[in-house]
Amino acid sequence: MKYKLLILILLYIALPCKAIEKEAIQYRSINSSHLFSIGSRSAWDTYLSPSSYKGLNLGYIYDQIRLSDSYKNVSYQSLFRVDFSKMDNKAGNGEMWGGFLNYRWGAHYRWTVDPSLQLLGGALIGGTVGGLYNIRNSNNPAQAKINLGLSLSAIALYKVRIGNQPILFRYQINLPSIGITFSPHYGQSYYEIFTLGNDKGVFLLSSLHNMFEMENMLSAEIPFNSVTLRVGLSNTYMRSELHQLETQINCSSVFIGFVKEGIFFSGKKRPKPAGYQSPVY
Amino acid sequence: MKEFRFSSSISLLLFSLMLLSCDKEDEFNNTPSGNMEALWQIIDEHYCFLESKKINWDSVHAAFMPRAKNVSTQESLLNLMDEMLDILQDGHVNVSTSFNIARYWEWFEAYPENFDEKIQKNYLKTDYYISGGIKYTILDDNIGYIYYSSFENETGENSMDHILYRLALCRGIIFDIRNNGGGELTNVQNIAASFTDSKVLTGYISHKTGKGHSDFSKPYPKYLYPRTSSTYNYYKQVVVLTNRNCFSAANEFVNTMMQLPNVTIVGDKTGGGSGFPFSSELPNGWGVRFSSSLSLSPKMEQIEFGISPDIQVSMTKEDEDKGLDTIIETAREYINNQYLK
Repeated sequence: MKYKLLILILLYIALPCKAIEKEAIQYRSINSSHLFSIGSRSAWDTYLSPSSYKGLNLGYIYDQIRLSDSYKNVSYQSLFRVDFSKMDNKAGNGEMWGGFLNYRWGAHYRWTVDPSLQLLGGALIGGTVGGLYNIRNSNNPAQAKINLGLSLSAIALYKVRIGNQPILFRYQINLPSIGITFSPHYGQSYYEIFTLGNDKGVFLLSSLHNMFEMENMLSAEIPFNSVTLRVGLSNTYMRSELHQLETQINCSSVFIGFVKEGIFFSGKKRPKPAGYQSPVY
Repeated sequence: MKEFRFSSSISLLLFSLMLLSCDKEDEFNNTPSGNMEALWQIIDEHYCFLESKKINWDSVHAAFMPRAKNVSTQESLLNLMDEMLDILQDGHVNVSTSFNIARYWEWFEAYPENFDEKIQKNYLKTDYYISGGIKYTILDDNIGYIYYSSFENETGENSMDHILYRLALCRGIIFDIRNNGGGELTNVQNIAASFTDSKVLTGYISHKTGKGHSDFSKPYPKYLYPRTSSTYNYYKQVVVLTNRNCFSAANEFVNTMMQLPNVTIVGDKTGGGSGFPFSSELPNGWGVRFSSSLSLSPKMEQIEFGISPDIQVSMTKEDEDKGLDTIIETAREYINNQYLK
């Protein structure tokens, strides 16, 4: 009951006053994507270096959407992302590693504009835990990135047919808007924070005034026999200025993976019944 | 489903993705002037002693930047940087390249060494113990002698327990850190905690809070806490031996130990180095190290330029010819006198 209340609160924050109709629908499927990404990441963090670093990024994305059992036109999403990058400075003699784990969960309300186009708007809660590690720095080798909070989220689902091939285009944008983030002070060492215990002000409120984040995913889902292929582009962007420390992290990747969709009961997939309703198709 | 149309909305989304992929451009070019400007700015915005050392960093810019235009080789660029950074008189400030390191070492090179490893062997002999990077033995007059060459050497509670167990019945301990150029501050705490039975204020730390030369945090107190899990602590006379080559963490160790009532500092003034060093880099990838936070004594005094001993003494030629270390001998005499009181 508590989580349903939370969802309602999130939706009312994210959406204009819109009645959410309660409706029991029997057959609601779960749409899950397992995606593997490869691309490039650039990182600039003045706590570590005034120079920017750029390199290869590898990642995995798990994206799950399911329709609400209780509320008409409401769907829930779990979005998990983990990636790792190895970057070099422009001179080619400095190396930085980056690793990030991102999880967001929340709800969207959906509007069916026409049979081929659905628009979803809502909010997600969650955040990012990870960091950058500059291998040659001595007392400031790493910068932890911990952001937890609320994101506004929108999804567009557009069904088309090219020849005989049906394709679903899916675009999602998440805008983390308010939350809590971690940052040492301008010249403060992690030794002072964690060994000496001077942690005052290292967790602070983040919002658009000091941090801008955006996550974009654009993909095409193409069914082949029993398998649905999902390919696309992903971009995560973060820029912050906290305690006069500036950070900009940008990651652009292509991803490919497969989509599973079905109705699951006690862990087993059931055949599609009449009245079946997909969260994306 | 509708027939496919590459709608304007999809084009707009793709365009926004492309815009986001723009990366941060570095502020300075990889040219001699660009690298000099970058170095000057790193120090200007991050170095913590510009104000306390009364350095006019803008005048340094005016003096050095025109010279950068005439630099033609990497070596001459490094020499120019070295010359500029020497103004800071800080052993924690370096520019590291694959062919050389720009450094300031006058804090010990301009003074007597006051340490001779060959003479030290007359005291350690050959049957000394080694534990956690510490060499130790018991001298003929039942005084424990410990030599710790670097705070990089990991020294935990277990090592200190073994050492203090063997030296428990000694009249006192000589803790020699001469030529110790520093290392991990955690080792300072691990070792010094063996010599106190109460919480002791050892100083303050203050970090930069912004780019301004006087932007500092409120000094945060540092305490030494007694070990709680150890078996052996030592509360009898301890003499710490110092020379000009005691730098950084070794300087902090002296500052910490001298707050304890049973500790006396003997030897020469330490080399200083109270800044907590951070790393950065130039557009050409050369590494830069600089002091980012400053440590202060419990009286809020700067210890950047070293700590004077309680008993100032230098090694004499006469003693050296006899194979004696004047500083060790002074410490032995002090402990024996205190013991007999």
